[in-house]
Amino acid sequence: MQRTSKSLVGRLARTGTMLAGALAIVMATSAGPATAQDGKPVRLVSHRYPALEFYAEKMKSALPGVAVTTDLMPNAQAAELQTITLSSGSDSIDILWGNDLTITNFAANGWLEPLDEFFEKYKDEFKLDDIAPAALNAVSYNGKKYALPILTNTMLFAYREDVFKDKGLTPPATFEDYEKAAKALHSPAMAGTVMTLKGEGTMNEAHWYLNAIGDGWFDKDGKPVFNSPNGVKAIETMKRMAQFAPRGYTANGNDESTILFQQGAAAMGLQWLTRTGAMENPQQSRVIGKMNWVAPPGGKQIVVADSYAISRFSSKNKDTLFRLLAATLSAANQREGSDRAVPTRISVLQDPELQQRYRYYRVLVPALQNATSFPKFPEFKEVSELVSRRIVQAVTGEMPVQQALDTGAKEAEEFLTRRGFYKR
Amino acid sequence: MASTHRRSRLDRRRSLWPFVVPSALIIISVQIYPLAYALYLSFTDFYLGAASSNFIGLQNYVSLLAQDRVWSALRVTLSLVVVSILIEFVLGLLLALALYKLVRGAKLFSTLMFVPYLITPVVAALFLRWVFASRWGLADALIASMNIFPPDWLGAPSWAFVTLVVADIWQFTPFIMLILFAGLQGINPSLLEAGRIDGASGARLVWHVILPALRPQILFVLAIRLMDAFRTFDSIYVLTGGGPGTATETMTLYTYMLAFKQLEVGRASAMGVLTLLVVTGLILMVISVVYRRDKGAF
Repeated sequence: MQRTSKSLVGRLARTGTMLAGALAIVMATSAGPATAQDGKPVRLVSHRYPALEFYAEKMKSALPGVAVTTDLMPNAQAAELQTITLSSGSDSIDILWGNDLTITNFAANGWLEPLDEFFEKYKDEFKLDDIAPAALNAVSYNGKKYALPILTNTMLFAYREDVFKDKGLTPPATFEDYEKAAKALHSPAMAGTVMTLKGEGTMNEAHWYLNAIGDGWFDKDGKPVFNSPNGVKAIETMKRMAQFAPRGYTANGNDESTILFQQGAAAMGLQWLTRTGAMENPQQSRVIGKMNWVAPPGGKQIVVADSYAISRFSSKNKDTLFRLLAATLSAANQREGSDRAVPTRISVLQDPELQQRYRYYRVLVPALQNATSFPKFPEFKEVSELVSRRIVQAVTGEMPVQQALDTGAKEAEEFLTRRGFYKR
Repeated sequence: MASTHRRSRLDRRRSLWPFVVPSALIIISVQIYPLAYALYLSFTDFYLGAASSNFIGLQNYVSLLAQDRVWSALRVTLSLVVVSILIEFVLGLLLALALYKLVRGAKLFSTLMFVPYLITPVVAALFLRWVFASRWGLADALIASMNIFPPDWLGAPSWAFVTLVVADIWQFTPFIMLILFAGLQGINPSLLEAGRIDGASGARLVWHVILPALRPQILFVLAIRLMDAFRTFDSIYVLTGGGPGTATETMTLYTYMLAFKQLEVGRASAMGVLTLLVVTGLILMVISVVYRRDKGAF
């Protein structure tokens, strides 16, 4: 009996040793470098809204023989996934959507493939000289191009034309007009104005106030100016306007604000140009033909360029990836997608038929002329997280405006000092 | 003879090593190594995108402890943990006692009440987000139907906190209820009978007989819930994102913000270590309070 037990222990011990060995081998191999993924489809990780959904779909059939899988998700999640993947040097993302902030940040970190060589090589085949220089400038960092611009996006001032007419109001041209109109139209059934303060939304909204009323975010030396007397005035105006915002505005992202307009529950407010098409969608909107747009009062609202970049760590052929992007953003596709976004190709922008077809095109030029982009330094993306929290605290009354902005400025300066920004 | 016996015991011990190695390797690779690496990172100035990192000693800890935001996150975390667990414990105990009293249907009711705990936290949070959404949410509709103007569930700092507490209670009370219910079933009925003979009934019986008998289960649920509540992330991230401002930002949320929004991995690691220390301290406190009369029980 004892012998049987001993031999059983011995057998189990041998099996255990083999299992341990096998496990060690599995762990050792899985901890090694990522293997090449050739043969697998090209993977796109992108933010999701109608225009980007359109181009992601076009990408799937842009180049014969090149299979594409697309992962579309909300802005913050896409940026996080991209950051984690690229910072680890993983090749699991081939193409990524980016905006001014992320492209600058990722390019500065050396995570993106410079595309100048490909631009030169394929400029005739894909008519790349047709892309607006301003759009190309938005995707450049330190004189190198890092992405292909998909669209230019800015915020327009959306308002309910019918409600304004009923009350004898005209679209606001100044912040005083805006406040008066919001006060006149605010009711439990309809918010005087939308406000989108969830996550990055705060930066977009505050950007307008801080640039139109205040002195902007940072001076030319990178020192915070958003807490200057004019900056305080700007955020105090924002705080006053919040009285007329719908309940839950601090938890509202672009999706929620779009639904508020579509459901007739908001009278006016800033709206991304790429969301204007959703107002006319008969399956989702109750305000078809009732919305109109003007350039935001005071101008200086945010303008961004959304773009596609190639990961430096992708194991796919970079030449093929570039051709895939160039084919996706062809003039034909941009013309077809022009109802969802402002194209970046000059030939499409100047198309007389399109200029006549889309109502917002007439306000687009004045809106774009006065729009401003975010400060263009790589750390702004990280700094914006610090500052936007303080701005929300100021707007919701959690902290006095001056104190909140001063705290944000101190935190931003400390952060930039730590990163060696002021020594460059 | 003795040496032969010792050798055989040593042989036997040696033959058991292979059984320990796989689990030890797994624990080292998924627990010890990440913890040690996080500890190492907490002493560096590493951030995502940095070409290299430098050893900076305790600088991350010193600057974190000097930040208002860290103390605010600690306050929010402690408030959320204390308020949620207290209510969950009282509700869980009452429900467990009610189930214990129930002659028929106890299993069915306990199963039904356990459902929220079975839902993945992110899914539960998304569901709750729609419940508490302004204007078109279920909570708004119910309150408005009673001609009451609903509060700003997720947008006002104080209500956002209340909403998180409600979400936590909804999801985790069933867990406490089930553990305490299982404990109740293990109590020797003669103890209760003896209590009744001595004249105890109702609250006195619960306080003097049932609760002392449930001490191991109480310690277990409190320790588990304390650790869980401290690291709650999914529901807060989905419901409020730590906002408005920093009104509902907990230590885990701030750690996440440091790591994935500000890309400050060194600081985020230091924050993680601080959280670990706070949780360990609190659990030791719970153990000492619950077992204060039985020193040496642990």
